[in-house]
Amino acid sequence: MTNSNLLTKKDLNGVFIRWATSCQICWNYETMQSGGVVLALGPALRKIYTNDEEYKKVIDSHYTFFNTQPFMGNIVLGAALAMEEQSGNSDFESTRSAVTSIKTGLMGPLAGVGDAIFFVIPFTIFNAIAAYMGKEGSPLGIGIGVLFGFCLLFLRKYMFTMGYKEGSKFVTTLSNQLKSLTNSANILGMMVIGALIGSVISVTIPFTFQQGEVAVSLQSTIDMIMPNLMPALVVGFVYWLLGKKGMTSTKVIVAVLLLSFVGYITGMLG
Amino acid sequence: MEINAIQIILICVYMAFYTYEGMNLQVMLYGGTTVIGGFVTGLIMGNPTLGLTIGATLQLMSLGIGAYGGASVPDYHTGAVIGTIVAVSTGRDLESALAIALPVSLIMIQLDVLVRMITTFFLHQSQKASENLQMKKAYTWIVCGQIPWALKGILPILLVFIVGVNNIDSLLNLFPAWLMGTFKVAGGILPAVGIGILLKYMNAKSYFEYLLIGFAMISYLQIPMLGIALFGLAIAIITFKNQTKNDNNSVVVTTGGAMDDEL
Repeated sequence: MTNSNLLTKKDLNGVFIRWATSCQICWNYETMQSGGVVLALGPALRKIYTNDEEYKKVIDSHYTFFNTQPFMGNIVLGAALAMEEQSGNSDFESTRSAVTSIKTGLMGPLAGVGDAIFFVIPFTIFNAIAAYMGKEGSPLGIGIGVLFGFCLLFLRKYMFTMGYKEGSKFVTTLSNQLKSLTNSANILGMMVIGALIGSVISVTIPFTFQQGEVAVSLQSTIDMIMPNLMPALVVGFVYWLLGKKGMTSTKVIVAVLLLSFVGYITGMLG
Repeated sequence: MEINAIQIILICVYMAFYTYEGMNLQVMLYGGTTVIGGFVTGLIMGNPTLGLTIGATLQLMSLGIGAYGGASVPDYHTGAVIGTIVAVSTGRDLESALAIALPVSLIMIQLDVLVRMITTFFLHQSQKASENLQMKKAYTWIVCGQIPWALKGILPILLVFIVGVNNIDSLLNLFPAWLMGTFKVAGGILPAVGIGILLKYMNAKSYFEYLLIGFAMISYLQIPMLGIALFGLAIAIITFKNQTKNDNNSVVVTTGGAMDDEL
């Protein structure tokens, strides 16, 4: 018996929409995104498994640990759903183990790449622009970022469709391009960060010293060496601090507060 | 100036929506949640410009900090919202907002951990219902798993309302001048922390030259941020094209590598 076309386009859209709108709605420490998986796949699986006992077992198997980058989850769920749909072609138990292994096999590697490509780098670029424009008093940067996030919805849909159509083959095709994509995105990210260093950090040395008749401001001397030298030095200091063993971002923030305290008290920083 | 009930309700509705959107739909995330938090709260409170400034400062501080893989991190968004409420309603400035926002952001880590534990209960209830094939009930329990998340957003706001901004104002008056001075200096330096974390994450050593280009463009040429991003985009596209071209030339080698991995 072949049951290759059990799911209609409407069913597939339903899975995508439910995953997009509620993938982490019941996120918990025990099984993480399992609630989102059950919610997304549940109704479609009912169409595939009409036998009550089988359906119970299938649903139960999806209440297991699952955690990946939500957008990449589209590929994983698409691939898993395609396998479920073909379950009539093999015995029940082997489908179960195949679905479980594709889910666990893909979620880890895809999470790492997904976090870099969809979260860290675009967040750097768009959040930096939003924050930079926000500091100047304009909410326009927020709009640019939200617009980008909205456009990504189409890409998320595409990833779901490709995952469903091509399964893990799609991941192989993708992985060849992902490296170049991460690399190029890093370049863009780095240039924005470089610009950020020179624009959003404000640290000056109000200290002046008397040389004969004239008061020499230390800050103007530093400015002559290189504009934005102080912000660059501060970033270098934080970067060095972060490389220390057992250092967390919270500890660095405390260290900066201490530095600011000493700087303010001694009048060295302003 | 006191906050009125409508403002509190609006901010709570926004917070509930934010806890949902940031975890699920994830469209707004790209606009910079902390800037948005400051801006929206500023709009509701009647001073969007101050809200934007507070949100932007906190956003820059936390650029590299993200809750990847379910980790709990300082919640600068809630910090920005509460900092804006206090600053606008008491007529204070950025420094006072930071003095409130930073401790709030750090305390929120604990609340985040608590929520992620509580939701386990909701999932267990859902699983129980599914064992009896009561799927509607099972789905409802999962959706209800959003309630603890929403409460995480709303409770801190209600707490501010209960304590009263006037009391927070008096508390801020007790802060000595050196503390406010420290926050003033820190407000300028703290964005370096977010930037430093990003540099660590993105492997700055291999991309140092591009960091230098961006820095020089803003320091010497004073090109606006968006313009630098466009230059960066152009260089990124050129690099992508060159690399994918090279990949196609060495396709035999790549396939060999992939097969080795499968073995």
